[in-house]
Amino acid sequence: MQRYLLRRLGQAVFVVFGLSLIVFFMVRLTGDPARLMMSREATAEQVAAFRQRLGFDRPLLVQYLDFAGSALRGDLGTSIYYRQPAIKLIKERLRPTIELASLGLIFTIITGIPLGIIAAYKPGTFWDGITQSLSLISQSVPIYWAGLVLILIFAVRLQLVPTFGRDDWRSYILPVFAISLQWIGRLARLTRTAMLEVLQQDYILAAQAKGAGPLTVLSRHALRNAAVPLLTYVGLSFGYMLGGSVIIESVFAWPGIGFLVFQAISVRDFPLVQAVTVVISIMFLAINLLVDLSYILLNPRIRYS
Amino acid sequence: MSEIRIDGIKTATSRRVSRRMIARALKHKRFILGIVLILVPFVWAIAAPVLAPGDPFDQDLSIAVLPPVWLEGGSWEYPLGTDFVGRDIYGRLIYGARVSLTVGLGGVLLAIVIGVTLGLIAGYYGGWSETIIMAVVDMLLSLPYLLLVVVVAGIWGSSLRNVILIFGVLDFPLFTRMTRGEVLSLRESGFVEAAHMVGASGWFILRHHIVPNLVGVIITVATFEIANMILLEAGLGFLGLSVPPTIPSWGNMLAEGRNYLASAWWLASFAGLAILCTTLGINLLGDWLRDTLDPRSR
Repeated sequence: MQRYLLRRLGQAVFVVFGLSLIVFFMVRLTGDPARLMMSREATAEQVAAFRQRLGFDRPLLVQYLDFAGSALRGDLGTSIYYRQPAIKLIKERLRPTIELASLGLIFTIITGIPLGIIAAYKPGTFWDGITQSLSLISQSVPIYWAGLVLILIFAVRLQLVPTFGRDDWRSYILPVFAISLQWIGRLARLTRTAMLEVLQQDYILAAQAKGAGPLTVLSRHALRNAAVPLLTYVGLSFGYMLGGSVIIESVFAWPGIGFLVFQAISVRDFPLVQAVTVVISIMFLAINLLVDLSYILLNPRIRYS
Repeated sequence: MSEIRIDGIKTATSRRVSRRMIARALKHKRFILGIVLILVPFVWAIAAPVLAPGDPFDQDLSIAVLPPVWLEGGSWEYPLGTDFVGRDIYGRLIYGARVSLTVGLGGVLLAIVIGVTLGLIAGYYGGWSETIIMAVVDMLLSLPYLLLVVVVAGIWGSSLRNVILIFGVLDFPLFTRMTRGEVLSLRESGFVEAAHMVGASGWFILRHHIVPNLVGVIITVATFEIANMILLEAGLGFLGLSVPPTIPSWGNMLAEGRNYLASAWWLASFAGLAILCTTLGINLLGDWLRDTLDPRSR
């Protein structure tokens, strides 16, 4: 167990190192980062002054060590556009993103898992058909478009909710629904597969034979054993909602870190882009690590060595 | 004489086989629906200049924001209406299929070429090459893919070539991991060991015993990845980070129509529907392929 933990942490350190290389060279691979960040109208002198100010004229290795060293001390650089430390801007935007991702996760779980259970309990019925179609559609629907359609119907036409932003509780409804949409169907499908497998086991038959009702069998015997593969997926989706919600946050102008990345890209504020990428990726890594570790709690048969 | 007979038998069996395959395919509703759905964008992409009624680049402000034909003010000349600078939406939809399909097919092809090659090397030869390849693969797989795509596209600037490159390079780990896994299990299997024993070279075994066994899995996963890339490309376009706005693409149409939601819903809606139908068709085909090629997965 301890060796497993150490190995996983070592891997995580390696991934963070790789991440720092990606983020560092992303801006420098095309040649001149100063050119990339300045507008096309900038004069040669302006570009040169900018290059010097940000230290792009130093050797690459020195630049990288400087970048990595400050990052380790918690300094992720300064935003060019806002003229503030990047980490401060990220902290301000963290709360809305965590709220959106948590609510999205809860909504995904309370809709996706019951759908999958019903489909597995009565395979081939109407509800099974609904679940199967829903999972296919949620895989195929462009979420940004779904977001626009939701805005058009519920905000513009019916005027039930605001079109964008984050004010009272009503402004949460559409973003939460939109961010969950692509995960509900997939989780339902996965629940169905996992449950179908478990429901064929002998202990289910034994439970039924001793007179347990369908609800008891499903919740106490089947779901608990089907939970392990589902947990991975739930964890993965939470990581993506936290980190990959650039598009949904941009559709609804949700003031989170995803929208911050998009805004930073729009004004070519690459130090800020780099900083947010690092923060989101580390959160993503941490969640996946936690999911892997929680396996042990859920399934005592798994012993890591 | 005998040659002719052999030929005759050959064609007869192959015809029977293909007829049986068609019969079986027709039983699969998902296959038919999938083919029907993707046929439209494929034909659009190939024959765009013939099919598009007018020039989709032609701007005419005097006919800007015309509604579709079934609404008041619409005309058959512009069946799905016009956009905010008077360009024909139907024509731009047809041309947009080119971008989506090029990115989907090109990106996946690039990912397969890189991914399968590295996977074969890692799985078959092992050693330090495996260690390095799998370290990079695991690293890329444990980072948030969508965010990296958006960020890299945002920094490198938008062009068709860049988008395909980014998708291919960030997506290859999936194919590497899959190929390596399959190779590892195939290498232990009886027929590969037998080939080894009769003295077949490593390259021969790879080509004749391992690659053919990989094709099914790779095609299935590739199908789903094409759909994902089409969705993602349009998402980038929606953010203004895919192909330049002068090129008609479904993502760009969504981005342009976004500000006219209240007054002219058709600007963004048809592009969204086109994306939905295309990805739905591809995913249906992928589902069907998975069940047909790999009966275990049912």
